[in-house]
Amino acid sequence: MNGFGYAVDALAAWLAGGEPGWIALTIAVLAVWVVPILLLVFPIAALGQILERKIAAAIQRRVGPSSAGLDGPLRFGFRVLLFFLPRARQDRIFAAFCNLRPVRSLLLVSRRLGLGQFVADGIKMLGKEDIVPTGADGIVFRLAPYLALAGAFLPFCVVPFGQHLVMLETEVAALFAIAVSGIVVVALKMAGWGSGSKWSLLGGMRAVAQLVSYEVPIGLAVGGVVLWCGTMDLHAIVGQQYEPGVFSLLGWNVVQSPFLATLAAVFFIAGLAECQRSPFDMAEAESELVSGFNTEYSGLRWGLFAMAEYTEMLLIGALLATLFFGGYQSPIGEEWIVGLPVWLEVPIHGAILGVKVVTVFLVMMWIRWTLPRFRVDQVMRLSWLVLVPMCLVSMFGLAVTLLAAGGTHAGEAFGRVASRPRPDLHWLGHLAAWAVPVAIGACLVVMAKKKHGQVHPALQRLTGGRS
Amino acid sequence: MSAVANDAIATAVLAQFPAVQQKHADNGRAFLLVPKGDLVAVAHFLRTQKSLRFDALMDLTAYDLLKYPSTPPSDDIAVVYLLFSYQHRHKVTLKVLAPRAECEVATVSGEWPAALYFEREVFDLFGVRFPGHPSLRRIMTPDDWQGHPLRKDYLYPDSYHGVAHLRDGQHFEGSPPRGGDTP
Amino acid sequence: MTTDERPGNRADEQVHMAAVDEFLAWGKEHSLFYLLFATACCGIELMQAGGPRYDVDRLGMIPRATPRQADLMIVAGTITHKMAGRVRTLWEQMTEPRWVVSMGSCANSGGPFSKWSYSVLNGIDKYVPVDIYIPGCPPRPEALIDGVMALRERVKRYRTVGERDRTPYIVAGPEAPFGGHCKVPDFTAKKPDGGGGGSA
Ligand code: SF4
Repeated sequence: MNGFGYAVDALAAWLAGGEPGWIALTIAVLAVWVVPILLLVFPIAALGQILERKIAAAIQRRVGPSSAGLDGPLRFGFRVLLFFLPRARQDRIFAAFCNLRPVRSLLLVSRRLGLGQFVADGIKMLGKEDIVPTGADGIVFRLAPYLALAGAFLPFCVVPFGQHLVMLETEVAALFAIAVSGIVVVALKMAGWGSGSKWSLLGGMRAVAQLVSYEVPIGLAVGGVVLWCGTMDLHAIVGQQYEPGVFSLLGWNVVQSPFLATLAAVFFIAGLAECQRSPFDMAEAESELVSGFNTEYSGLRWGLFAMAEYTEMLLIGALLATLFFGGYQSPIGEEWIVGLPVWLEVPIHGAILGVKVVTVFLVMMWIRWTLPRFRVDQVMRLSWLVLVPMCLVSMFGLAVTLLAAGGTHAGEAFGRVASRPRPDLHWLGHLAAWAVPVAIGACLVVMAKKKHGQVHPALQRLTGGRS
Repeated sequence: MSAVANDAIATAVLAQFPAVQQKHADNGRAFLLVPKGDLVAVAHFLRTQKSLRFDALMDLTAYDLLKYPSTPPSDDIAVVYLLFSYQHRHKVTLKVLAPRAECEVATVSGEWPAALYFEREVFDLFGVRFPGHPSLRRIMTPDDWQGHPLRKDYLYPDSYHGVAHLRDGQHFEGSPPRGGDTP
Repeated sequence: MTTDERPGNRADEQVHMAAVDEFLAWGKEHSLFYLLFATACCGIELMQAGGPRYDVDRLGMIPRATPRQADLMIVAGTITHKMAGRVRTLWEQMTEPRWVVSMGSCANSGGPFSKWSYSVLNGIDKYVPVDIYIPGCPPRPEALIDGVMALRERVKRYRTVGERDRTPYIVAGPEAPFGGHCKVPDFTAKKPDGGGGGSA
């Protein structure tokens, strides 16, 4: 049990004034878990849009949004706070406030950074006409964006944000995350179907075909980690990656075995496709095919779809960090954090996870604005003919590694167990886990070179040959 | 395979179809005036003959001979076919005259499917009908358009669906005569 | 001066929804998504306006491919009679509040095709209500941005209730080349050697 669980119980008991009923429990869970996490994820997802536009601008050597500062919201705030004054007076006070030196420079900086852009976009969407097309299936059409958002948010329940901050600690967390994010597929299909337009329907079909086929490599990649760790509990998986000492980086799954590194790469690529980000944005190929499943959506509902997309990017980042990159653990030793009181430990761990997530987020954007789009058949081929075989081979390799090391999971084989601290490092075992597959790969390359006279230039460079 | 000389192309066709006339073209390319009735046969011959093998219809267009400095003066519509052989890398130009009154030329879309759209365009703008074309509809102008705009005797409409063609009733010196609403 | 006429005392300044309305208008002003749509050569300038040099993204403008999500339709290019109905359909598919900018002589008045064409519509304002006209063939991106700034002034004054300002506004004017923005050489001036100017 962790500290926040007690907080839920205590709050529920206080609310009910005795034995808490389900209403009190629900309210307590909402107050302690849901609202804080929504407050954590929503602004990041919203800021993600402005971040994306700024990064796109930087990559294309533009300036990016730089006219919407925070002055608009600030003026609105003044109007609301000073509602008892006449308008002209409000204006005068606002102008005087804005002319204060620090305020003025802050406002200028905010405008230069376009910080108000997402506020402007958001309230514009609020003010837009809300259209449900004549041929649309009203309920399905209206429900779809909320389902997409729910599917993107729900998996955050099982992501450990810190030693004491997991909303839902369950044995099947990894399975839960994958299963629940499957709701997004249904939502996109509903959006395409409910719009009552062939264009949206085809867009929805494209999206669903892509999402469903990329669930397979994602599931297999997670399966590989589960095989390695012997547990589906994400928090236990994070615990298994604990490594005492300053080099806690070496405990992360991604450096345990080349097979796990491969799975991390597969997970990232398939995750890109799951979020329908470029180069996999077949579902929403803006310049060629009008935006696909959300063609008929206007205003806030479309905004919800966009929000779901960014949230899903965050989710992929969080899962990637949790499964392969040590979760919330710092790369430079854990002991100095573990001993801290809860109110200090949780923010620090949360911030570390946040840094990892944002890094993945940024790489996704970098890729989006750099690479052109795949053709739809290439997207499918990549999934079924490249990623899935890679996953299967890696899983097989992991299983062989574990058996060779004498155990059915890493806990047994290498003395890594979920409960921490567990200071037992068999560095020779890790070295062997890397060295053997790399040696086999090198042998394969050399054999191929002998047999065919040439190999792929990249492999040639890798093996020291001239390219 | 090497390109067949321009004259050789003409000779090969003339040997098969005596009614075809060879014409002079400034670009030095083989240029054949084909009688209306022979067109499909000539096209088939050009496409299938081993030494010619014109596998691509590069362009199919038309022009109006009315008020054209031709001898003798005529008011026919000339339909022009530009053919190219990817295999032999040579070209030929065919010309067919369609009389204004009974403006019909057999379709060559059986030989080159690329002709489908070209023929629709020529039909739309010149009013040449292509019997045998599977769906000869207008392609550029709206479906309810009247007349064929690139004919030289085309009378420019004053308005389309009540929207006047000249803004605010302005008139230009030398602008074409106009009349009627389309449709 | 009666009490009603004093500044800050009019009804729309006293009702507090006006503050919300003003905030909404601020959002609209800073987030004009335009429809990804161009029919002729002016479209090239429109694309250029989104490129690194002119970058309308600075003003919060990004292209949206579907009319449902667009606020602004920039009619860039020649509109034929056949196209006009489609443009009207696109405009009808856009969600309120929506604005239309007519970019270039063709969309304004038929431009170079107004005299000898049987097929070109002489001004898109026959089909959709135009807010801003930008003269030029084509207008430079500066002129387009000038038009967008004029439009932003109008959007700022937009209120959810009440009359909407629909008076057509013409950017700069025909006598100011390139939208009156940049210094251009005087092509009509005679050079000292007697030759005509502007022969680059
Ligand atoms: S105004 Fe000029 S540049 Fe613009 S579409 Fe017309 S002809 Fe082209």
